[in-house]
Amino acid sequence: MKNNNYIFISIFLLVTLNSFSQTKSAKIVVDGVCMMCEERIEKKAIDVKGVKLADWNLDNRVLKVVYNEKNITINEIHEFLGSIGHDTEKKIASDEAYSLLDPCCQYRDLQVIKDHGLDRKPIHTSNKKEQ
Amino acid sequence: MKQIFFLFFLLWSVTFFTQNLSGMVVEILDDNEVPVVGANIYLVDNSKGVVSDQNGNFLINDIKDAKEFVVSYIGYLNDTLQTKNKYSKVILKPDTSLEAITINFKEKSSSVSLLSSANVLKISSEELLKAACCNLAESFETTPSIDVNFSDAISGKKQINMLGLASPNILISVENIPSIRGALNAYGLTFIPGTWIESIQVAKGSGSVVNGYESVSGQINAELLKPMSDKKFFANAYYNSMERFELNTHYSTKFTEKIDYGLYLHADKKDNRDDHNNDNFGDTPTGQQINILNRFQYTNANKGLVGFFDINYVGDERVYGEIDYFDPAIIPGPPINDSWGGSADSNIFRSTLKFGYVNPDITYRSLGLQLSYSNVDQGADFGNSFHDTRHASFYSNLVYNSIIGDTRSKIKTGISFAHDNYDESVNNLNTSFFDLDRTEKSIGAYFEYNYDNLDNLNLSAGIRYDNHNIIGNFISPRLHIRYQALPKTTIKMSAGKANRIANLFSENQKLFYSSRLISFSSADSSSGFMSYNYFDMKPEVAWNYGASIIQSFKLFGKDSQLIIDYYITDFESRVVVDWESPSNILFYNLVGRSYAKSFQAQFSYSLANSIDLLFAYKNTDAKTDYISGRLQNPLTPYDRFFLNLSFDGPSNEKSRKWKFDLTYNHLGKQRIPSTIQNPEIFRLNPFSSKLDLINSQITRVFSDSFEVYLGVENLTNYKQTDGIISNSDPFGQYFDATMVYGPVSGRMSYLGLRYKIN
Repeated sequence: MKNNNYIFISIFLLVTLNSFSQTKSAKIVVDGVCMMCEERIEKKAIDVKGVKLADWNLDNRVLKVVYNEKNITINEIHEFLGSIGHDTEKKIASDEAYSLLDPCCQYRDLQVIKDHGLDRKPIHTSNKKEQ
Repeated sequence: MKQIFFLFFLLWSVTFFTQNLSGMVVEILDDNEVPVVGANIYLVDNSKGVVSDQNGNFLINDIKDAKEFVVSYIGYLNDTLQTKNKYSKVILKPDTSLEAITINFKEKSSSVSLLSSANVLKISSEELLKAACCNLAESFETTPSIDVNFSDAISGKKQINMLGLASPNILISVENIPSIRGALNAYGLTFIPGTWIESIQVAKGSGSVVNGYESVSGQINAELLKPMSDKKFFANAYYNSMERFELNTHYSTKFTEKIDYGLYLHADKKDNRDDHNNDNFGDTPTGQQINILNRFQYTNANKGLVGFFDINYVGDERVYGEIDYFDPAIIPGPPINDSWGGSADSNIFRSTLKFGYVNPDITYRSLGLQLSYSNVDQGADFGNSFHDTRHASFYSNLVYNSIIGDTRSKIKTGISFAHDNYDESVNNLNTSFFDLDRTEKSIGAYFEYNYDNLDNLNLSAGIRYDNHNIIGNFISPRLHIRYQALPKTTIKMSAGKANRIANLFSENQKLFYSSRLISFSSADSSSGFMSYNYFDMKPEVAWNYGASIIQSFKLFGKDSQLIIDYYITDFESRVVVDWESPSNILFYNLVGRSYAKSFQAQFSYSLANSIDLLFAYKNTDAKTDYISGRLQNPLTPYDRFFLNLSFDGPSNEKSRKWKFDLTYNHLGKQRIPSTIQNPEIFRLNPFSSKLDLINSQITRVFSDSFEVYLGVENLTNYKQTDGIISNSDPFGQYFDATMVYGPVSGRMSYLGLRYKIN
């Protein structure tokens, strides 16, 4: 019985102490308007090597990411999100990547935003005009 | 003079250059300023806008002549500020008057999860309101997966079955702490008032390893109301035609920013003994219950700490028996020995402490600790018999959640410890006496791996290893798979092993409502000379396998769902409870097979936005090898039809509306244990008649805070009149009140009201 207890506790500790290493968390504002956007952002982000958690919230457009610094930097994550067509507060997606999004996900379009029942502006309103 | 010019120049030049606006958006949490990420900041005049970054900072270039800007964030009050300060710190205040977001499609009040790998049915508090359920046992009247059966003709208790097996085979937990165990198998389900329940999760088949090794046919978890999210005040009063009165009140308040408190009270009382089926016995017991729960909830969102501390006391007294029996404790004087009866007194003290830590940045890492202590003191007498139990129980479970790689692969691991101490004594008809003091203790470690490809596959594989002072060392593997084969077709499969020690007297307390003599024996007649006792009964071991298919489709343009499932529970070891000889009750270890095969097809359909239809067919093939051969388990219907029609009307501008609910149950024939050895007048048919039972309820919602409901159970007034054999001679050798397959009390109507302050 005594021996057994030690075995249980050591198994538990071994599993618990698995690498509390270079794990970082960050919040990135990622533009998007619908559940399809959510699925795209989350599924593609989690596939990136080094990304451990990706959770996007449609209401406030915040993507929570947890990532391993050894594999990826925060700037690379911004770059990646831009490459799949989603603007972040730091990176504007190329028009080419943006145009590949489904018509219902065209988050820069004020009419699309309105159609989703949202009362807000794209995070990069002004840039579109300046381009 | 020069300096003044210089100053003027400076002022002028500043206005001449393009103006930028910068600042920081924060909220106050625990007296600290916390940056708000993703707040919208836009200028009123030209509506140019930006979003705050992860430090809450924002910068708008070239604001031109905009005078004002707005900061908005969902759940917070908009703030309009002047642009004259070039740097502004904006403190957002939560919008407490936030109106609930209206969801246009109606959420079903009970639904089978399409995403979870286990076959889990979630019953919300809405569903619980469909029948004016008084306690957890009666919460399943509108749920076809669970059968609510009649236990006996004396106690008025209802017994729940799942996959053809009685409730001791179901792991019943309250907020994931195994709760209805040991001595509570007798009355435990009646000690959880219906109004306290926030939601119930019913998992068919073997459950998760996290909650222990005991779930044979399934797992039921009841979540109670949480003081933080609960209404300020709630009151419910209920009165029924059997003159049973119930009162429930909930009160919650915020002690500090981090601590919420809730006080939950339940009281019920019934004074008169009524006999609707004219068998000279009260149909339901008289008595009262007082049930008090104190809940403290601790939340510190910043640090990721949550906790609960509960203290619960239950005092319950039931008096049952013949119409002219009075409990000597209540009516002083010489005991009236010529009438049969008794009382069951329960005193329960329970306290739980739960503590959880979720890393606020890395939310997939969390650690939880559950500690629970309970002391159940129950004394019951029945004619010349009695059964006294004191069960003290301590339980702890430490669980750690994390991931492997990324959040598609999650793990749960932990250790649990349980200690149960029983002081149990039984007097069986002044003939045999049992002294069953015992201690059970176990420690176990578990590991559960969950994989979700975020698309069509989700699997959960768990294993636990336990050391138990009676069972020894054993392994419990569990596996659940969900596969979405087609967009509207989901397949689920599960397999698992469970171990359990039966608490024979608490689980079969109804045996005392008879003149049966208890004996322990062997199924093997060759060892007939050996004498057996309670402690020769082996721990139960069972495997459970199941599969289900969920098909969603449109029928006449409306959403509908078809669920078909099939489960097999196969016992490797079981204590057989043998009622087949009317003069005694035998307990022996299973030799041969004992299994329960359960098929269920369920069809749900939304007739209109406010009308839902649920139809189910169930077939149960549950057999056990008795000494007298392989027989269908007694008092278990072979098949059952179930129909539920619910109407949740549209509400007008004052939120007035009607709700209506109708449930029809057809119970197929049930096998009655053999009475062939009795004289002819005391024999029953080997099979019960088929039953049709109808319950209905209508609710009038007068406002957001007040509603009245009126209902009727057993509308067709069905009464089983032969529920008590030899009712005129309860001290004679043929008396037996255990052969109950239907209601003994006829139609029952009730009226209730609910009042709440948000």
